Amino acid sequence: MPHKVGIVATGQTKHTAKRTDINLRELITEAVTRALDDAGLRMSDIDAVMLGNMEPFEGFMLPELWSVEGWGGLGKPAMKFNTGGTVGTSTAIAAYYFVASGIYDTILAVGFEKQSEGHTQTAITTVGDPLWERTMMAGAIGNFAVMASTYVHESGVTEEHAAKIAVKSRRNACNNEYAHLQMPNLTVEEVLASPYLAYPVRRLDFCPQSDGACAMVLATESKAKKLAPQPAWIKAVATAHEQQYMGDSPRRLADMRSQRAASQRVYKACGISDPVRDLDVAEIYEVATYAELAMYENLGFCAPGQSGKLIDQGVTTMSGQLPVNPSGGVLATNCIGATAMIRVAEAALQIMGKAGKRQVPGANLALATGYGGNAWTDALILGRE
Amino acid sequence: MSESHWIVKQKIEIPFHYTPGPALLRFLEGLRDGKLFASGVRGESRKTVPPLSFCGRSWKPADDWAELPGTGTLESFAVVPHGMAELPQEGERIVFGLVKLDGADTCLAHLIHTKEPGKLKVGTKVRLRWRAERSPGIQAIAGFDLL
Amino acid sequence: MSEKTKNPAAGKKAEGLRVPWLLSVEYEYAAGHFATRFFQELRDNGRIWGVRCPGCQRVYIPPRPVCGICAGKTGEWVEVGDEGVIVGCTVVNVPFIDPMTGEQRPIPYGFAIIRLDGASTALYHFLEETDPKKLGVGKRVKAVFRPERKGTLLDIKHFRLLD
Repeated sequence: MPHKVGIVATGQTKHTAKRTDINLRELITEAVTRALDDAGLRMSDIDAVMLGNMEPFEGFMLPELWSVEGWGGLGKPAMKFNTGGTVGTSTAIAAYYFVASGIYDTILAVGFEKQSEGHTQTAITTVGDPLWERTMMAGAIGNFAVMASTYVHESGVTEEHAAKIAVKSRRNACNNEYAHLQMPNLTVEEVLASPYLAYPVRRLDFCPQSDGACAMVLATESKAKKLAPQPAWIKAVATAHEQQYMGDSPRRLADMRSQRAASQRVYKACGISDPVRDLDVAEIYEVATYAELAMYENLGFCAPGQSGKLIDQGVTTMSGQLPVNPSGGVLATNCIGATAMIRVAEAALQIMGKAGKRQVPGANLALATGYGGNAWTDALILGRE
Repeated sequence: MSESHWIVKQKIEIPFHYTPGPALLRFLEGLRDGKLFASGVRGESRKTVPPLSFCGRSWKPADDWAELPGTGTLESFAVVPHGMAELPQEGERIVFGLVKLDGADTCLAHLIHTKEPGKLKVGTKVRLRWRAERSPGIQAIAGFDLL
Repeated sequence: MSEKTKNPAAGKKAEGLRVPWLLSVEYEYAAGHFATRFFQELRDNGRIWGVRCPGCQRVYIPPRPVCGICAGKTGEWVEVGDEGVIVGCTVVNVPFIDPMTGEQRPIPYGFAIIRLDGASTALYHFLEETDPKKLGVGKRVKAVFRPERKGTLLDIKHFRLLD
């Protein structure tokens, strides 16, 4: 049986388009210092460090080596992960495994990315097979646009549904002091007036590119209870993969087999049969408005073709039955190596009752997801018990 | 190339921007001005080159600055038969060394200028040579001469 | 290293807090014999071939040695049509640097995942049409071959809308 594992502290930078004042190492230090301060810990209390970052967004390989003094890793056991968009959740799940297995008691997990140093869509295009899809790919924007066109065709969701998601995220972000895109007055009309990046995805349908880092401290049950009045207990984790070529799963957004598999696995482990009823809050890795709509179906929040109705009825807004992305989500902040970990940290803040103006009252059970490379899904359930 | 197993030649080319951050920026500006800076934590004797803004050992800001004299000791070296495109002596033999700078606790990697690399020894004393025209980069330093 | 690879800070003044530099890496990619055969057929005969999984009967393009669903060996080569149906499409308006050239890719351009007649999976390729109003999921397209073929996916110039 795995040991019980709690998230006891989190730290984030103020995510923004360009942190020209500091380098990548210093960006990491900022988040790590905040997480240690949150837990009342010193670096010497940390047994091991798990790192997440996606190369080649900053252009140099193995940034964890170059930045080791920035995350306090000298002489400590450490591992680095790169799984694309999921890297933040993969890193959190790895940290969970090490504590749950009894190998380490207290682990620091860190995700970081300085998108401003490179060209995001250019770097993402190198993910494509060099003989096949790389030639046509236009980064994540192009891939999501192609997937969205299929989803729109099949599900009947409209541009207005997508625009409502865009507005929800950027307005929620105003309650999050760390969020990048905070747009308190954004309207559906403004979203619909923004130009197409790649049809049918408009500029305001897509996430920004951000500089940012996120750190968390995970601990065994006995330590967690000492370090936090209410730890966020990790109740279940899952990771699932999909065939990689885009055309292998043409209904990729509508089907999202990896997301269905991962979410069903964590729901089953926690006895969740109706996620909208049983979960209190969800922090999902949505990247684009149309992706969030499709994920409502894939995560079991609604029946196929009903995602538009879900946002029309406000079910996923802050006052709805299941608030999705109170933090503003990826549509408000995307510093890729940190992004999925921010989902976990934000879900943890909700469970710990420390989410401030974005707190969902009495949040007892939270879902966090990561999604990467149009293929891979991670899912975690956090709870108060 | 076999007709049943093609080898395809390709390239990846991506432009980047590097942000030095405050400590490295001061270091780079120092190089431009012909000054060599190291930093450390106040109250600690350890100094690093290039400087860090934050010390990963003591987990404290490293904002105690020192200007170094530019002399040092060769800690290790390699004789490379053909220089690379990034280096000034492209195609010529070069000596690459790690120099423990006087006043610092870390080594700086740079070119070692000598006509007789066979006579180099670990422990050889060296002195930094500046370029006449300097931009804020490591190539503001021409290398190290033997003392 | 390419000639464009330069000292990061060369010629830059220190007031610039961001130092531009270029990553340029040349490499040799082993295509493997499935892709090699596919591109030879495309080059020599202007034909498009996939492979069938004997387990689930899926016809895969790109051709590959193993079926990801059955985790078993594929084997039989199957010729598919040069016409197919759009299962997802877009027109790219956002400017970005193509990592394969280091230059900005010309925009706007259309691309799609296209299920060729006789194939089970779908292929990423360019579309001739760049007006999104004229494109759509379910529309039929046909491959336009280049007169001189070199054995790359670009031996097909793009796909043209039918009717």
